[in-house]
Amino acid sequence: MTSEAFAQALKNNRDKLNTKFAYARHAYPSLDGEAFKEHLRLLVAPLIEAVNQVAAAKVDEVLMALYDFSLDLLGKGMFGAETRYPALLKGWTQLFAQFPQLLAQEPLTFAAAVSNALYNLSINQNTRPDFWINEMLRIGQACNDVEAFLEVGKIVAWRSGMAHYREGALAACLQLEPPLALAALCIKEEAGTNLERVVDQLRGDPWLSPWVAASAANGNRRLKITAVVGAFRGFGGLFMSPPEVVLSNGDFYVFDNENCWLMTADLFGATLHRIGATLPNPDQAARSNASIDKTGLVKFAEQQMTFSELQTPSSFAANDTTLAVTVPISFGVYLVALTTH
Amino acid sequence: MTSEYKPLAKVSASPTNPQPAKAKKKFDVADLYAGPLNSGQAQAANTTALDEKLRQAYFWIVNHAIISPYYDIEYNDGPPQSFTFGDQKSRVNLPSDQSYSSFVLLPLLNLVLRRRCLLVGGPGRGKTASAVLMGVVAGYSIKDIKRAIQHGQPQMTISDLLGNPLPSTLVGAKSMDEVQISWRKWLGMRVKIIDEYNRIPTRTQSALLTVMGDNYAEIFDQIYECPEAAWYLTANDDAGGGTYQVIEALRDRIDIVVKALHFNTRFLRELLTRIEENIKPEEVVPPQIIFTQQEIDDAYKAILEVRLSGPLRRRIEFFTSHFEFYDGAAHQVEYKTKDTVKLAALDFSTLPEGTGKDKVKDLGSQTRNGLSVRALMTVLSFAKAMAWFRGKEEVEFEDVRQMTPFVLHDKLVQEPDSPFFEAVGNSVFRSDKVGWIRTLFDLSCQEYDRLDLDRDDPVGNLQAEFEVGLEGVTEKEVRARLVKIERLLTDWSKGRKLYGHLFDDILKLKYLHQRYTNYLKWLKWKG
Repeated sequence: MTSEAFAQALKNNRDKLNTKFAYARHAYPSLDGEAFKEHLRLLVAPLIEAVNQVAAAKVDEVLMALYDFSLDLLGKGMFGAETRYPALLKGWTQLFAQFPQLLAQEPLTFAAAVSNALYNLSINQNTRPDFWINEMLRIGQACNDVEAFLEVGKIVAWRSGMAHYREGALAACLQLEPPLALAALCIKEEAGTNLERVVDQLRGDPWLSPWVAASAANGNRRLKITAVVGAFRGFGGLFMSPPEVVLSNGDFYVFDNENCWLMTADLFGATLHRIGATLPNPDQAARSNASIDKTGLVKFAEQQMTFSELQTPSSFAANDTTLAVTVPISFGVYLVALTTH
Repeated sequence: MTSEYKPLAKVSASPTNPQPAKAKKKFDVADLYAGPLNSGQAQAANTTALDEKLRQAYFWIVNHAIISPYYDIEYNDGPPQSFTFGDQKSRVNLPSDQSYSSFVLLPLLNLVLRRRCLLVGGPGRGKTASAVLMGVVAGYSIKDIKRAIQHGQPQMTISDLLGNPLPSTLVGAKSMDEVQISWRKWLGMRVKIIDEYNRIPTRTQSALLTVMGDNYAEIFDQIYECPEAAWYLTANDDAGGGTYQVIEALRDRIDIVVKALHFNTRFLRELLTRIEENIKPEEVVPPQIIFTQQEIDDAYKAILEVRLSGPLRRRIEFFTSHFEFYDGAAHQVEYKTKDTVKLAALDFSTLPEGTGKDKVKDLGSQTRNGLSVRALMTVLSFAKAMAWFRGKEEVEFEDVRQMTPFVLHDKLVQEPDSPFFEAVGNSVFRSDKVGWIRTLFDLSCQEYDRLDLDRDDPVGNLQAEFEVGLEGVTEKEVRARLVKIERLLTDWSKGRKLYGHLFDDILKLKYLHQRYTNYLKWLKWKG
């Protein structure tokens, strides 16, 4: 049954909404009127009802925002039974329903930002949109306004596997109230936890976890394969052939004889960003503190360990914290680093 | 093959006018919230994206709101393909770079420049609709903007236009200061629309002139200061067909004239869809293309920062120098202007024009007036705005060439009896003022190139020398410079015919000569 607030809002804006639908139907010929009606009834109506409970005056504004975005998302095939972005639907039903006060505060900003974040988390391989939703459901309760919610969202997106946003996320930590930032980093707040110190430590080591950084004892560290990045395209990965890796201007680049990607990686995940068809020039100075021999013996940061997976490496490159190795029989890039045991 | 109707619904994706990448983009966590949905807020916070926002507004309007399938402001980044049709040799160019419809673009530029735009054309061509859209893009609701439109009509009084004294204060007032005025709401708006301004009675036009020209309204000694605003005036027939003759001062305040072009019948299907589906574009302007007052202010500041190079400025100087000079107007050179003739209320045909000049070649023969300072400032402003709109940091030649006709449309008064219009193919310019002014500009540039003024500009060199300053310049040096000026004038006086551009150059040389003479006197006095 359609809620009274929703019905009234539809009635108030009838002409405008009909015009918007008419425009959208021409832009998206596959847009189905019945499916859209169903979408409004099942998805938007409960949200409008929730908004009506917390900010009745904002119902019309929220409806217009959700209506516009629904047309766009349905028109582009991002909503619906065969969508490739199920997280979007989950985000709308869970996050919007859970935080109607934020939706009412800034309908356009909140709805667009959350939807776009879920879209970006969905299109990146190896990132975890469901984790983002669950974490935001947990932490969002403590956010008084949309701005705080979106700042927290940046940190959680990094923790959801978007390693390329690491720097920005750490900067966002310092913009928030410390309790909220600690919650976003999944650090249990204890007396004496110094947020700035934690952020400083995290900046220095991509393989250090926030909770270890926050604890007094960092534990023993030893060499370990921390991640294997990439896979054969036939199995859902990106690479057509076993890749090779170089370091250029401090960044890792991976090449599979057809394409080149910039690779970012840390404790929470790794991402690959296509930059073209050729490798950039590698850094001239070889890292003296990193080496690997044909037996898989890695010497790095004054430690050494043999990894049988890394025998007869085809290429390797290292920065201050990470050694990246490729082997002829694998489509993955192995990352070796010192991590807390 | 029929073209598919693809109307309205979304704002064009950025970049609307792609430019070469400047640097490798770094990862920005704020991009997490950029994606298929656009709230508009993200862009609002970024002043550098205002030109992009205006382009998005332009493309939304041409794609979804106003059926204006014209590209009369043509840009090319390579030779365009051209085709010629019919006995009149009508030429059609297919521009090779992003080109624009003047009817949509110029009102938008007028919005960010906060100038006065006149939309002319037959009834039902979207003049008022365009003005209303500009109001919506400036952040007003449809209701507010429609209420604020001043509809010109023969009975319109000053009170109708500006407001009324409150009867209670009028009765009780002991002096004019005590009269309170209920000012009309439109006076305080940042977009002002005067519909059919040529139907307003002359006396009310004078009151309108004060608001347009000086930005304040006055009744009963009470003053209302208006904010900076973009004006849109409409007229069905601007050539005297209105109910009242528009007073010249009011016409002179109009900065740019835009023609509403005809309806292309191939787009009737779009009209049908609008009727059938009750589409009202102004009701659904996307929030992403709505500007705040601050954004309009910021855009204006950004436009002012667009550079205009010296060589291009010289071409504009050269172009504008053709028109004011009239050899037969006076005895003393300074007064040899068309303005002198006009002030004397004489007809040009009663006065001799210089003999021996090629009147077809003399661009000044095509006009009855010169250009005012206001007109020149407007040309420069719109050229900058055009460059900014195209994402450029410096005004390009084509920006000036494209904007000049619309700015000078009502500023340059054509002399229809000029021999130029008798030449084959030129008679069309008697009715096509945009084409005429653009041709004038092109002819001026051809002459500029023929004279090789980019490389050999003796007056420019003397001016540059003078602009370095007189501090420390010796008497010997001053005398040398004076000799240079005198020699130049001697050379020019030997058989060279006097044209407008030479007239300005001679006066400039006289100015420099006088400044050096005064300085020389001062040097001698100083000992």
